[in-house]
Amino acid sequence: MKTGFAGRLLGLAAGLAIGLLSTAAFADDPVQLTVWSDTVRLPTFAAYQAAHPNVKLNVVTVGDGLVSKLQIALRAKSNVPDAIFMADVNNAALLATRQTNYLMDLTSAVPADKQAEFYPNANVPCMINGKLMCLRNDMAHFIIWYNKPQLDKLGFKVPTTWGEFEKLGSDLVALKQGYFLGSGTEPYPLMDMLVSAGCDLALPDPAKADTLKIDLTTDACKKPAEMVDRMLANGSLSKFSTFEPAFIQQASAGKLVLLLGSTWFAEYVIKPTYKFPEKVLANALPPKWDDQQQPSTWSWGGGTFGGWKDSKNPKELVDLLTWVATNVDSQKNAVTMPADKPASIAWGEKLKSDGYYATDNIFDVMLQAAAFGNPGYGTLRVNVGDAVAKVVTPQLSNGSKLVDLLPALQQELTNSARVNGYQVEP
Amino acid sequence: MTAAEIAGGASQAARRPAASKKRRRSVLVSYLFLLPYLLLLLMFGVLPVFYAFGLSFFDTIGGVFWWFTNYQSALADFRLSASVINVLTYVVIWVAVTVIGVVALSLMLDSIGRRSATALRTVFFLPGAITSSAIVVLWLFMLDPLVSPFQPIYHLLGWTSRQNVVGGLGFAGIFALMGYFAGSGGWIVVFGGSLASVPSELNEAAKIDGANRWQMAMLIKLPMIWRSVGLMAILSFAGGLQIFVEPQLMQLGGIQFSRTDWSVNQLAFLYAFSQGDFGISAALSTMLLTASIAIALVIIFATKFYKID
Repeated sequence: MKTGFAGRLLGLAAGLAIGLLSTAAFADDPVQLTVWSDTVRLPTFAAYQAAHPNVKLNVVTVGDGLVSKLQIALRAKSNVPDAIFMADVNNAALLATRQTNYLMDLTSAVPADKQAEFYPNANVPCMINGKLMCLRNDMAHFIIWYNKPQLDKLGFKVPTTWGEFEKLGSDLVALKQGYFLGSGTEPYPLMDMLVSAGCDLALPDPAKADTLKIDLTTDACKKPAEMVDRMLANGSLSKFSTFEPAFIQQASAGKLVLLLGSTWFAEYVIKPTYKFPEKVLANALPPKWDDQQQPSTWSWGGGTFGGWKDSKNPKELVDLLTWVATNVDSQKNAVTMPADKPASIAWGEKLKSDGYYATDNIFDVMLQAAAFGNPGYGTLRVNVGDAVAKVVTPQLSNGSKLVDLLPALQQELTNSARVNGYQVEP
Repeated sequence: MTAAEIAGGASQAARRPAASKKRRRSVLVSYLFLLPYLLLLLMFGVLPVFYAFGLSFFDTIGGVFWWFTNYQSALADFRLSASVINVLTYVVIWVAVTVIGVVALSLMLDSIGRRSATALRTVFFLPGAITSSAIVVLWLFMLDPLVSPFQPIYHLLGWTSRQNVVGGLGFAGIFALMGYFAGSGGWIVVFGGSLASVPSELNEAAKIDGANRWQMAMLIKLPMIWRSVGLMAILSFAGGLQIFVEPQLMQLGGIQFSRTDWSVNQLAFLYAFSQGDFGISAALSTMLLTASIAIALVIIFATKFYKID
């Protein structure tokens, strides 16, 4: 078919018009940001979306294996998300290396007043060699959780020092009723007890880049280790791990009087798994050693939000990260205690009217304890929990002493640190 | 070959052009049928191997060729020797248990009634139908003295927690048991076929000569199927060196069972997908593949596996 000159001109004009129209439409299009979230954080991103019509979030649900999936995306250079939720605090360390240079430096991008809103030490798991590489979502510090009516009935007080904690254990054992104070083999509570007296269990040296302090030969390590050994020997700490069926059976049978657990333990372990009934559970500040002014407490978890350093829309991205971590209206509905203090106070309101607990100061204790968070709880390329699980937990369960296992743990941590490119100092 | 001979050969070929053309066409057709498989093998089997091999000599971030640096880093890793020992222990236990168990069961099944043997073979095959990932979850229950059907045995041994059981059996022992129950059923079916192909005259002659069931199994049937046994051992060995899923999934039982660096393959995975160091990962994978191939070749040549009697 032959097309005349006029026809071609008309076609050209139409094409141009469509082109112009579509550019105009693009200019009004919202900014696209791809987000990798876990299922729990979906409502948070939905809330952001609802409040920000200028941004179009493309939320992808990524469960386990975030780092693996991100490695593939980065290697393929396609479908790299702009923002991610990291459920494991160690994720950030793995995503800010020479090999995997994903995370955006937020040190000066996030407003200083917003950064100041976080609890002290809350953003340590986001600090990598002095730079803020992510924003902490939730707190997960260890506190004491206990069965209040049980403890009252038996006539004991909540321990405030580790000495009282051990004494309570032996007093309970003397009753021969099978009462106990939690697990003495589970890696994270073990780490909490070890670090409580100032043991250098692979803690970052804030003054030097990529340097870890690993020294388990000190009294600060031996003192808690010996306590754990005595408590495992008399049965006041269980040889079972926190989630083992035998532990759960005893805990739900009312034998678990008190334990050290992180802030999320009540809602996600004690209530659903240990089946503590209503008006039973109370909490208290973590114990301190006699020679300490205040307790020093470790954490178990706490997620973080991070952004992609090569995102096409860095301004909107930083806004998104700041919003999801600090927006009071959104974070007050979060499932775990927000790391942003104002948001967490709003969040804590609902705990006061929660009929489940035996006391109404549950949140006050969590808030007060947040100040005692150990500044060494950071993000590492070494998985200390895995190391403890490998060289300590099985051996403890089979009758070894923690004090005797410290050299092996030191060796494992030192080796892991070096393989992962850290300098190790005693 | 002399020129005359070549000429002779050529004239011979020229004398039978039709036959040769036909044969060539049938060869072509066979290749055509093979093509889809060969293409897939090339794309997903051969090319990745060469890609990994090439990658193992590069700094994958800077794209710089740096000879054996990745191999040096991999060999210097303190976890490597431990994982090699783990994997070898596992493979030795697994292959031994599989060879003895599968051969014994197959020979026994061959000496009972055909119908009940078929029924039993199906039963043995069933566990193999479950994927290894599901088997790990199942085993975590079986290993717990509180809920396991083997509770009396565990208690007899003084094992009261899952940790005791895992410590007592060892990771290698547990994975070998998992592997045995997952894989043996298929081989029992294969051996059923091999044993059925043993000529019945042979069995009858042995019976007439007064051989009992034990003698028939050990002296008549076993020598007839040893080649299948060898094949099973080689495949199990090569497959066993690649163990990954079982130790990787043990963390489902809790962090105290988590061993992300138990096997060599896991180590390669850690390097690539945790640290983002694809070069060292490729070096580890290349070494693992080389070891598997070398061991398989040694076994094949030492046993003259492909020699036709």
